[in-house]
Amino acid sequence: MRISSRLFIAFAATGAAGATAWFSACAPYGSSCLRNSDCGTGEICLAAACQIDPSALASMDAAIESDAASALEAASLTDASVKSEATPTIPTDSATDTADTGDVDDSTEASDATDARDGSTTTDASEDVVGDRGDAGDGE
Amino acid sequence: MTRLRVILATVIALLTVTHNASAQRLMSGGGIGLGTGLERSDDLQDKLFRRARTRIVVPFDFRIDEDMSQGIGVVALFEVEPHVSLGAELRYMRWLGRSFVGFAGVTSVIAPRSLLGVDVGADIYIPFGKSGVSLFIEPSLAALPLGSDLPQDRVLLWLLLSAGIHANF
Repeated sequence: MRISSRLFIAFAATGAAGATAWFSACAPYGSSCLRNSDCGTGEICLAAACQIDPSALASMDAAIESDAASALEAASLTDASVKSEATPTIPTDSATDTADTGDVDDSTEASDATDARDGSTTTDASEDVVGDRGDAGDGE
Repeated sequence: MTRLRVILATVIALLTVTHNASAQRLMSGGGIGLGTGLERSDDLQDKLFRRARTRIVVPFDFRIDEDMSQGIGVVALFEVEPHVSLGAELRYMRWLGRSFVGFAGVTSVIAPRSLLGVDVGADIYIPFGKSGVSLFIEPSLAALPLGSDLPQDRVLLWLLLSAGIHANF
């Protein structure tokens, strides 16, 4: 959703730039003037030359920001709705549980390995005992 | 009794001798013309004037036959080149002869942006015979200090010359 909102902002910015370029193309930007109506749309006469109207730019920026904010708000609402719809989907959790079960099996194997080590230890111990006995026999 | 007879005789004499006063008649005229000229603003640095917009003027004048020396004029303005706008003017007119009229008034541009100011000028009529139709030539000077069409509240000056056809209705 954030990607789509960014796309929307990109489209809005492109549109605004295109509109500015369009109006600038239609207007005699930089040409001499004595009246504001000598200039094109979105321009005013400043110091006897047609220039971009700062107030028009400000309003355009405000419009873009407003659009971006509404787009972000819409995106967050959509995210929230997706989350609310995704919450009751228990099968995703059971799949996770299944994976956990596998982990448990692994741990069981590990415990088996531990048991095997224990067994080997026990074998070693029996060998020690046998050795001890041998030693004892030797002693007799 | 004698006194009453004298009063009655005087009243009758006054009523019979006095003529009925004629009603006031509205005398009107109108025309159409083309004008242009020079305009000046403090923003103009490199030269003193530049050419003003070409305009179509549609003047109407009204006066009462009891006082043919003064009247009111209404003018519709249509700036057509290089930019289009619509305006109007209200003027007080003073006839200083059969073919010379001085005026002073309030001139304005209404759309697409506004201008408001005052102007003075003169109409010179060159009649075509006795038909009431004449050629008019109108030099005028206007100062426009108000309106959204002015950059940075600079006063705009117009020195205009219009010419066209005028007729008395």
